[in-house]
Amino acid sequence: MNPCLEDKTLFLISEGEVSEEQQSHLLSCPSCAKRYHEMGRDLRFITQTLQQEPPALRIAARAPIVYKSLPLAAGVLLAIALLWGESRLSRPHPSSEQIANGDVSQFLEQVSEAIFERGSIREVETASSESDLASVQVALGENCSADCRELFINSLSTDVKFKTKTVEQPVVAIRGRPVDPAMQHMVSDRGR
Amino acid sequence: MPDKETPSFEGLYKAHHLKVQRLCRMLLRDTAEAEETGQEVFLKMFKQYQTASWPNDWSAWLTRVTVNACHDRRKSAWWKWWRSSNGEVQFAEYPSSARTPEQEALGREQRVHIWRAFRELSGRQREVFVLRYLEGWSTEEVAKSLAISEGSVKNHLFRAVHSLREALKKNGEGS
Repeated sequence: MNPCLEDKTLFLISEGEVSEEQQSHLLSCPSCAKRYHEMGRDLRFITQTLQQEPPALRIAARAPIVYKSLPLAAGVLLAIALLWGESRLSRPHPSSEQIANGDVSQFLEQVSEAIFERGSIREVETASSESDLASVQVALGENCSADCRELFINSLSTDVKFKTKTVEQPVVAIRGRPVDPAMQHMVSDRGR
Repeated sequence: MPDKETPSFEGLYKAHHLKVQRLCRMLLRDTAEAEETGQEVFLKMFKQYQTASWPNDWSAWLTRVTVNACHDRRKSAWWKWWRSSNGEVQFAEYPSSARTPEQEALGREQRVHIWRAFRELSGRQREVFVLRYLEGWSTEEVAKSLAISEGSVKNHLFRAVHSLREALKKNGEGS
């Protein structure tokens, strides 16, 4: 005996799609015949019900629009966060070498600031040991020969205007820094 | 153009407007939207009435136009659907004097369950069910009208019938 017919087959039979085999099974199987008749009965009842006027409809209280908008707002925020994250990831990363170079140049700049007070670059010129000694002697008020004083005074008068690297120049000539007049006066008094 | 032998527009409207409104209410969830769509259908009928090409069967023409109008309305009303989808449709039926109170109570509950299940069907399943069983069209006519295959019509029909029967069985078990 053939297995019982499926619900869909029974429905297709009611729509006129039936093979001889199915028809013979339907006639010989009380269970399938019963299911087939039940389906027809239900369908008639459903159709009759739906042909009548529908019962009064009432829409249950709706959730406030704020609550219903929460998932939408959350979705928008998530999309924005994803886009932001993606843009961050796609941005090229500075290499470790670039980072190191940046750090070094920043460090040098800070050191330069600390050493030279103001921002401008100053030139420190090397001096000869003679002028160096003269300057130190004058500054300490030690006995200094006429040549020594002259050397020092010359170095002050030339000061910052000329920065040629000669022996007659001051020991340390710092461009832009004025010579202290008191110091100059003292030196000239001593020279007399 | 109409002459004395042909029906007047008012006559056609009176003969069919209840059916059109009912179809719209069955195929659309929103009652106000169903009324608007019904008016659109009669506007189309008026335009058709003014042309020289009249359909052979105004009833079938109106059914087809109504189903298509509801289909279009459903497609364009996703926002409205989203707004209304959280609101649960509830049914309340008034008792009829033709039955006993027990029959009335049981029948009322069954009808409510069937209508609720019908409203939960997909738009296509409702269209197919209405045309095939409530309007009495053949499978071939339904397929032609909805521009789908006959096999697809039968599949939609089977799913619709299965869902409706399930609702009926649940109600029978519960009562």
